[in-house]
Amino acid sequence: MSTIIASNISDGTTSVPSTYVVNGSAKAWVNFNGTSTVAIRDSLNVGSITDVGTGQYRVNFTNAMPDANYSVIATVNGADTGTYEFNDSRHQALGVVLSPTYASVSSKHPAATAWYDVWQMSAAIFS
Amino acid sequence: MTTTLHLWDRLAEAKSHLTPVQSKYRVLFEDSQDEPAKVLVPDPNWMAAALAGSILPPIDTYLRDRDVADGQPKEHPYAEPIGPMTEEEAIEYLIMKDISPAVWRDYQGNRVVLKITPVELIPSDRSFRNAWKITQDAERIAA
Repeated sequence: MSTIIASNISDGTTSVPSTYVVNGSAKAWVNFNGTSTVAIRDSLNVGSITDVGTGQYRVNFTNAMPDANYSVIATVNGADTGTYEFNDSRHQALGVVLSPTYASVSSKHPAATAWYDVWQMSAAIFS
Repeated sequence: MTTTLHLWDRLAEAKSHLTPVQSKYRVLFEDSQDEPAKVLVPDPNWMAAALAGSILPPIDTYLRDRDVADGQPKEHPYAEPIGPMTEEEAIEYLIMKDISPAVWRDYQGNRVVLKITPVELIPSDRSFRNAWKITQDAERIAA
Protein backbone atom coordinates (compact mmCIF):
# COMPACT_ATOMS: atom_id res chain seq x y z
CA MET A 1 0.00 0.00 0.00
CA SER A 2 1.37 3.39 -1.00
CA THR A 3 0.73 6.69 0.75
CA ILE A 4 0.33 10.01 -1.05
CA ILE A 5 1.30 12.94 1.13
CA ALA A 6 -0.12 16.22 -0.09
CA SER A 7 -1.35 19.41 1.51
CA ASN A 8 -3.73 20.30 -1.30
CA ILE A 9 -5.73 18.54 -4.00
CA SER A 10 -6.40 20.34 -7.26
CA ASP A 11 -8.31 19.67 -10.49
CA GLY A 12 -6.19 22.22 -12.34
CA THR A 13 -8.26 25.27 -11.49
CA THR A 14 -9.67 24.76 -8.02
CA SER A 15 -7.61 23.62 -5.06
CA VAL A 16 -8.77 22.40 -1.64
CA PRO A 17 -6.74 21.35 1.39
CA SER A 18 -6.45 17.55 1.66
CA THR A 19 -7.78 17.86 5.22
CA TYR A 20 -11.20 18.48 3.63
CA VAL A 21 -11.06 15.01 2.15
CA VAL A 22 -9.75 13.34 5.31
CA ASN A 23 -12.12 15.10 7.69
CA GLY A 24 -15.04 14.86 5.30
CA SER A 25 -14.86 11.10 4.84
CA ALA A 26 -17.04 8.78 6.88
CA LYS A 27 -14.93 7.19 9.62
CA ALA A 28 -17.36 4.30 9.90
CA TRP A 29 -20.56 3.19 8.21
CA VAL A 30 -22.90 0.24 8.36
CA ASN A 31 -26.01 -1.11 6.65
CA PHE A 32 -27.89 -3.86 8.48
CA ASN A 33 -31.16 -5.74 8.66
CA GLY A 34 -32.92 -4.99 11.94
CA THR A 35 -35.72 -7.49 11.48
CA SER A 36 -35.93 -11.28 11.72
CA THR A 37 -32.41 -12.54 12.44
CA VAL A 38 -30.46 -9.30 12.67
CA ALA A 39 -27.46 -9.29 10.31
CA ILE A 40 -24.98 -6.81 8.87
CA ARG A 41 -25.05 -6.38 5.08
CA ASP A 42 -21.92 -4.28 4.68
CA SER A 43 -19.81 -1.86 6.67
CA LEU A 44 -16.49 -0.16 7.26
CA ASN A 45 -14.73 0.08 10.63
CA VAL A 46 -17.44 -1.84 12.45
CA GLY A 47 -16.62 -4.84 14.65
CA SER A 48 -20.17 -5.81 15.50
CA ILE A 49 -23.62 -4.50 16.19
CA THR A 50 -25.58 -5.19 19.34
CA ASP A 51 -29.27 -5.93 19.01
CA VAL A 52 -30.41 -4.17 22.18
CA GLY A 53 -34.16 -4.61 21.80
CA THR A 54 -36.98 -3.78 19.43
CA GLY A 55 -35.78 -1.02 17.08
CA GLN A 56 -32.68 -0.32 19.14
CA TYR A 57 -29.19 -1.17 17.99
CA ARG A 58 -25.62 -0.34 18.95
CA VAL A 59 -22.84 0.00 16.36
CA ASN A 60 -19.49 -1.05 17.86
CA PHE A 61 -16.42 0.43 16.16
CA THR A 62 -13.18 -1.40 15.43
CA ASN A 63 -11.12 1.78 15.41
CA ALA A 64 -12.60 3.92 18.17
CA MET A 65 -13.41 7.59 17.64
CA PRO A 66 -11.17 10.09 19.47
CA ASP A 67 -14.09 11.28 21.60
CA ALA A 68 -17.89 11.34 21.62
CA ASN A 69 -18.16 14.64 19.73
CA TYR A 70 -18.76 13.08 16.34
CA SER A 71 -21.75 13.13 14.04
CA VAL A 72 -24.04 10.23 13.15
CA ILE A 73 -26.22 10.30 10.06
CA ALA A 74 -28.72 7.45 10.15
CA THR A 75 -31.55 6.48 7.84
CA VAL A 76 -34.12 3.71 7.99
CA ASN A 77 -36.11 1.79 5.46
CA GLY A 78 -39.12 0.03 6.91
CA ALA A 79 -40.81 -3.00 5.45
CA ASP A 80 -43.69 -5.30 6.04
CA THR A 81 -42.16 -7.84 8.37
CA GLY A 82 -45.33 -9.85 8.64
CA THR A 83 -45.88 -8.42 12.07
CA TYR A 84 -45.77 -4.68 11.53
CA GLU A 85 -46.41 -2.60 8.46
CA PHE A 86 -44.42 0.57 8.06
CA ASN A 87 -44.90 3.64 6.01
CA ASP A 88 -41.29 4.22 4.96
CA SER A 89 -41.56 7.97 4.62
CA ARG A 90 -42.84 8.37 8.16
CA HIS A 91 -40.12 6.43 9.91
CA GLN A 92 -37.27 8.20 11.57
CA ALA A 93 -33.89 7.14 12.84
CA LEU A 94 -32.69 8.57 16.10
CA GLY A 95 -29.19 8.53 17.53
CA VAL A 96 -29.50 8.13 21.26
CA VAL A 97 -26.07 7.66 22.80
CA LEU A 98 -22.65 8.48 21.39
CA SER A 99 -19.51 6.97 22.87
CA PRO A 100 -15.97 6.79 21.45
CA THR A 101 -16.38 3.02 21.06
CA TYR A 102 -19.99 2.74 19.89
CA ALA A 103 -23.00 4.68 18.63
CA SER A 104 -26.55 3.74 19.54
CA VAL A 105 -29.13 4.15 16.79
CA SER A 106 -32.83 3.55 17.10
CA SER A 107 -35.90 3.58 14.89
CA LYS A 108 -39.21 5.07 15.90
CA HIS A 109 -42.50 5.64 14.12
CA PRO A 110 -43.55 9.28 14.63
CA ALA A 111 -47.13 8.22 15.33
CA ALA A 112 -46.13 5.84 18.09
CA THR A 113 -44.14 6.00 21.29
CA ALA A 114 -42.56 2.60 20.79
CA TRP A 115 -39.41 1.66 18.93
CA TYR A 116 -39.87 -0.37 15.76
CA ASP A 117 -37.65 -2.85 13.97
CA VAL A 118 -36.70 -1.87 10.44
CA TRP A 119 -35.65 -3.88 7.44
CA GLN A 120 -32.75 -1.58 6.72
CA MET A 121 -30.86 0.73 9.05
CA SER A 122 -27.92 2.69 7.66
CA ALA A 123 -25.58 4.81 9.73
CA ALA A 124 -22.51 6.84 8.80
CA ILE A 125 -20.15 8.41 11.31
CA PHE A 126 -18.17 11.58 10.62
CA SER A 127 -15.47 12.74 12.97
CA MET B 1 12.38 -0.27 8.09
CA THR B 2 8.63 -0.87 7.94
CA THR B 3 6.02 1.26 9.62
CA THR B 4 2.81 -0.25 10.92
CA LEU B 5 -0.18 1.23 9.15
CA HIS B 6 -2.88 2.85 11.22
CA LEU B 7 -5.71 0.42 12.05
CA TRP B 8 -8.21 2.43 10.00
CA ASP B 9 -5.95 2.14 6.94
CA ARG B 10 -5.54 -1.60 7.49
CA LEU B 11 -9.32 -2.03 7.71
CA ALA B 12 -9.89 0.00 4.53
CA GLU B 13 -7.27 -1.99 2.64
CA ALA B 14 -8.64 -5.31 3.94
CA LYS B 15 -12.14 -4.40 2.79
CA SER B 16 -10.83 -3.89 -0.73
CA HIS B 17 -9.67 -7.48 -1.13
CA LEU B 18 -11.14 -9.74 1.59
CA THR B 19 -14.42 -11.58 1.08
CA PRO B 20 -16.82 -10.90 3.99
CA VAL B 21 -17.53 -13.86 6.27
CA GLN B 22 -20.96 -14.13 7.91
CA SER B 23 -20.43 -15.75 11.28
CA LYS B 24 -22.32 -18.88 12.24
CA TYR B 25 -22.57 -17.59 15.81
CA ARG B 26 -24.25 -14.91 17.87
CA VAL B 27 -23.52 -13.92 21.48
CA LEU B 28 -26.45 -13.57 23.85
CA PHE B 29 -25.82 -11.57 26.97
CA GLU B 30 -27.62 -9.81 29.80
CA ASP B 31 -25.99 -6.76 31.34
CA SER B 32 -29.06 -5.55 33.23
CA GLN B 33 -31.83 -7.39 35.03
CA ASP B 34 -34.28 -4.75 33.90
CA GLU B 35 -33.54 -5.01 30.19
CA PRO B 36 -34.05 -7.74 27.61
CA ALA B 37 -31.19 -10.00 26.58
CA LYS B 38 -28.93 -8.38 24.00
CA VAL B 39 -27.52 -10.10 20.93
CA LEU B 40 -24.03 -9.36 19.63
CA VAL B 41 -23.84 -9.73 15.85
CA PRO B 42 -20.30 -10.05 14.41
CA ASP B 43 -19.57 -7.91 11.37
CA PRO B 44 -18.72 -9.93 8.22
CA ASN B 45 -15.87 -7.61 7.18
CA TRP B 46 -14.44 -7.66 10.69
CA MET B 47 -14.69 -11.46 10.78
CA ALA B 48 -12.84 -11.70 7.46
CA ALA B 49 -10.09 -9.49 8.89
CA ALA B 50 -9.89 -11.61 12.05
CA LEU B 51 -9.58 -14.84 10.07
CA ALA B 52 -7.00 -13.35 7.68
CA GLY B 53 -4.71 -11.98 10.39
CA SER B 54 -2.23 -9.08 10.36
CA ILE B 55 -5.03 -6.50 10.59
CA LEU B 56 -6.53 -6.38 14.09
CA PRO B 57 -4.59 -5.23 17.18
CA PRO B 58 -4.14 -7.37 20.32
CA ILE B 59 -7.26 -7.41 22.50
CA ASP B 60 -5.16 -6.19 25.43
CA THR B 61 -4.83 -2.80 23.76
CA TYR B 62 -8.62 -2.33 23.70
CA LEU B 63 -8.85 -3.29 27.37
CA ARG B 64 -6.14 -0.79 28.32
CA ASP B 65 -7.77 1.90 26.17
CA ARG B 66 -10.94 1.67 28.28
CA ASP B 67 -9.03 3.60 30.94
CA VAL B 68 -7.80 6.31 28.56
CA ALA B 69 -9.71 9.58 28.79
CA ASP B 70 -11.64 10.84 25.76
CA GLY B 71 -9.53 12.94 23.45
CA GLN B 72 -6.29 11.32 24.60
CA PRO B 73 -4.28 9.08 22.23
CA LYS B 74 -5.42 5.47 22.21
CA GLU B 75 -3.09 2.50 21.90
CA HIS B 76 -5.10 0.12 19.69
CA PRO B 77 -4.95 2.04 16.37
CA TYR B 78 -1.14 1.95 16.37
CA ALA B 79 -0.46 -1.48 17.88
CA GLU B 80 1.29 -4.18 15.90
CA PRO B 81 -1.43 -6.43 14.40
CA ILE B 82 -1.87 -10.02 15.54
CA GLY B 83 -2.00 -13.16 13.42
CA PRO B 84 -5.03 -15.05 12.11
CA MET B 85 -7.70 -16.30 14.52
CA THR B 86 -10.18 -19.14 14.29
CA GLU B 87 -13.85 -18.12 14.25
CA GLU B 88 -14.19 -19.26 17.86
CA GLU B 89 -11.19 -17.15 18.92
CA ALA B 90 -12.60 -14.19 16.99
CA ILE B 91 -15.91 -14.47 18.84
CA GLU B 92 -14.10 -14.50 22.18
CA TYR B 93 -12.12 -11.44 21.07
CA LEU B 94 -15.35 -9.63 20.17
CA ILE B 95 -16.90 -10.49 23.53
CA MET B 96 -13.97 -8.90 25.33
CA LYS B 97 -13.99 -5.87 23.01
CA ASP B 98 -17.70 -5.09 22.74
CA ILE B 99 -19.29 -6.45 25.93
CA SER B 100 -18.71 -4.99 29.36
CA PRO B 101 -16.25 -6.89 31.60
CA ALA B 102 -19.04 -6.82 34.18
CA VAL B 103 -20.65 -9.56 32.09
CA TRP B 104 -17.76 -11.73 30.89
CA ARG B 105 -15.20 -11.25 33.69
CA ASP B 106 -16.68 -9.86 36.90
CA TYR B 107 -20.12 -11.46 37.15
CA GLN B 108 -20.25 -13.95 40.03
CA GLY B 109 -23.95 -14.83 40.21
CA ASN B 110 -25.48 -18.19 39.39
CA ARG B 111 -27.57 -16.98 36.48
CA VAL B 112 -26.23 -17.59 32.99
CA VAL B 113 -25.70 -14.11 31.56
CA LEU B 114 -23.61 -14.88 28.46
CA LYS B 115 -23.98 -17.58 25.84
CA ILE B 116 -22.40 -18.19 22.44
CA THR B 117 -25.03 -19.81 20.28
CA PRO B 118 -25.47 -20.87 16.64
CA VAL B 119 -27.31 -18.21 14.67
CA GLU B 120 -30.15 -20.58 13.74
CA LEU B 121 -31.11 -20.87 17.41
CA ILE B 122 -31.79 -17.13 17.72
CA PRO B 123 -35.56 -16.57 17.32
CA SER B 124 -36.39 -14.91 14.03
CA ASP B 125 -39.83 -13.89 15.32
CA ARG B 126 -39.25 -10.60 17.13
CA SER B 127 -42.85 -10.01 18.21
CA PHE B 128 -41.82 -10.24 21.85
CA ARG B 129 -38.22 -9.07 21.43
CA ASN B 130 -38.27 -6.92 24.56
CA ALA B 131 -39.14 -9.94 26.67
CA TRP B 132 -36.16 -12.03 25.61
CA LYS B 133 -34.08 -13.54 28.40
CA ILE B 134 -31.42 -16.21 28.25
CA THR B 135 -33.03 -19.51 29.14
CA GLN B 136 -31.57 -21.08 32.27
CA ASP B 137 -32.63 -24.54 31.11
CA ALA B 138 -29.48 -26.59 30.56
CA GLU B 139 -31.26 -28.65 27.93
CA ARG B 140 -31.90 -25.63 25.75
CA ILE B 141 -29.33 -23.13 24.59
CA ALA B 142 -31.30 -20.45 22.76
CA ALA B 143 -33.00 -17.31 24.02
